[in-house]
Amino acid sequence: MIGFITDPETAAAIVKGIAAILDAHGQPNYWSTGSYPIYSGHYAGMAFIPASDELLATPLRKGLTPMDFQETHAMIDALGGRDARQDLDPQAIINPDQEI
Amino acid sequence: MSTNAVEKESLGKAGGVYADSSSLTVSNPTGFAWLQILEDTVFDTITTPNVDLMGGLDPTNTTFSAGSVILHPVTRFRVQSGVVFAANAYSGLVGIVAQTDPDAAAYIAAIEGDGVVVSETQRNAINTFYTTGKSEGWYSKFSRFYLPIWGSAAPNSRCLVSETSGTFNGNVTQGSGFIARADSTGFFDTSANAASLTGVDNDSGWLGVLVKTATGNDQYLGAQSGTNLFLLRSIRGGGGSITSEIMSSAGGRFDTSSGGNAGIISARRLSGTRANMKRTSSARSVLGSSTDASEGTPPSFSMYALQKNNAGAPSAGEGSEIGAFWFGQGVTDQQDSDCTAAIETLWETCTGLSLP
Repeated sequence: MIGFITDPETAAAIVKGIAAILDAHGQPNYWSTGSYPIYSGHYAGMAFIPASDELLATPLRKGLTPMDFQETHAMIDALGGRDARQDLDPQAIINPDQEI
Repeated sequence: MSTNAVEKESLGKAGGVYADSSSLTVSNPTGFAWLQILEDTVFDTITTPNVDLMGGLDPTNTTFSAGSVILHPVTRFRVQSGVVFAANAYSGLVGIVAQTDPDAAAYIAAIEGDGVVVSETQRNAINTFYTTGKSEGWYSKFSRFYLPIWGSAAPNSRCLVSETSGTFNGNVTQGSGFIARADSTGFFDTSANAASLTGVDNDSGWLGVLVKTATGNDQYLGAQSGTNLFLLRSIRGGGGSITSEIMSSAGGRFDTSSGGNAGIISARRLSGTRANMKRTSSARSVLGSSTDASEGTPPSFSMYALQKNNAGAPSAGEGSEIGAFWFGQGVTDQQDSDCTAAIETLWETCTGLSLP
């Protein structure tokens, strides 16, 4: 999975920021990257923010995608730019203590 | 051509439209009215905040000069609250052919605001879904109902009954006629939890999902708090099976063979009876039913779709393509049957696709 790996506080701020952007545009909080705790592997204890090209091209409304908003570019820059994205093993966000 | 030959009585009975000898006023406070020109009609001045002339006239042109607009019998047009056809505004014959349910009109207006171009066929299908549900008694049982067929997140996030929006999180495919979890980050948060829903308890619950394409062992819809669940899920092996859990993982759990997990899958519990059902393009079947004591309590975590909400975190979806989903109060078998038939018609008409 392609995305940014950051500390949980920054990830929470990003998700909160996305909701604020939608609110500023007069929209309900209908879309978010989400953020996911990393439970295992080299980055255990950090958080994952999905940001694949596919996700960043999600159709939102009226033909707009997340990349049509300047705020999205600002967030990506704040996380180090697109080149800072990493490929995380999906198993890393599975909570081993959680009953399925 | 006649003059002022409006069918006054029929217009009045249809609701919200009043005509006298010199004017036609639409006062329906919430919905739309569909009017049909019955013979050549000349309009004078039209004062209107919203007239959608289906005959091809520019709906933004709100004033027409005297005698300049002649509408022929094939013309249909949609009018909203507040429209006034001024004195001597028309001659000819105008009649109502249909009036849109106000809740349907609100939903249509909302998704049009999101950029969806709703065809007349789709508009009629949505309206029929609402009016049928209200007349057959299952509409009021919905706590939430979603129709994520529009190919983008905003309209797909809208509930048809509560006028709320849920939130798509992570990587979700917004397909034509469906949504699907693209990887383990993708899910939909309805922001509604079973513990706070009116009329939903361990002896009254209803869950359903339209599965366009079934994948793996999936968690279609639900939430879990320890042994308390409100959940609908599937297992691929053994020819397929459906499990519902209302509201307990022990006594509330019900496993039934399905013969394949595509179609409209639903589960209900009401007055001691629980059952899992499946509707395909060819038939509806009750996969299993039983009568037993109720157990558990509604979980207080938000209901997710595409994965389940396991104590506040998304868990274990597989990526089935979902074209509609809902949850709410318990219903009778007849109500479930009527509702899933209506959902099939709604989804097929609006998407042009066929139910598996």
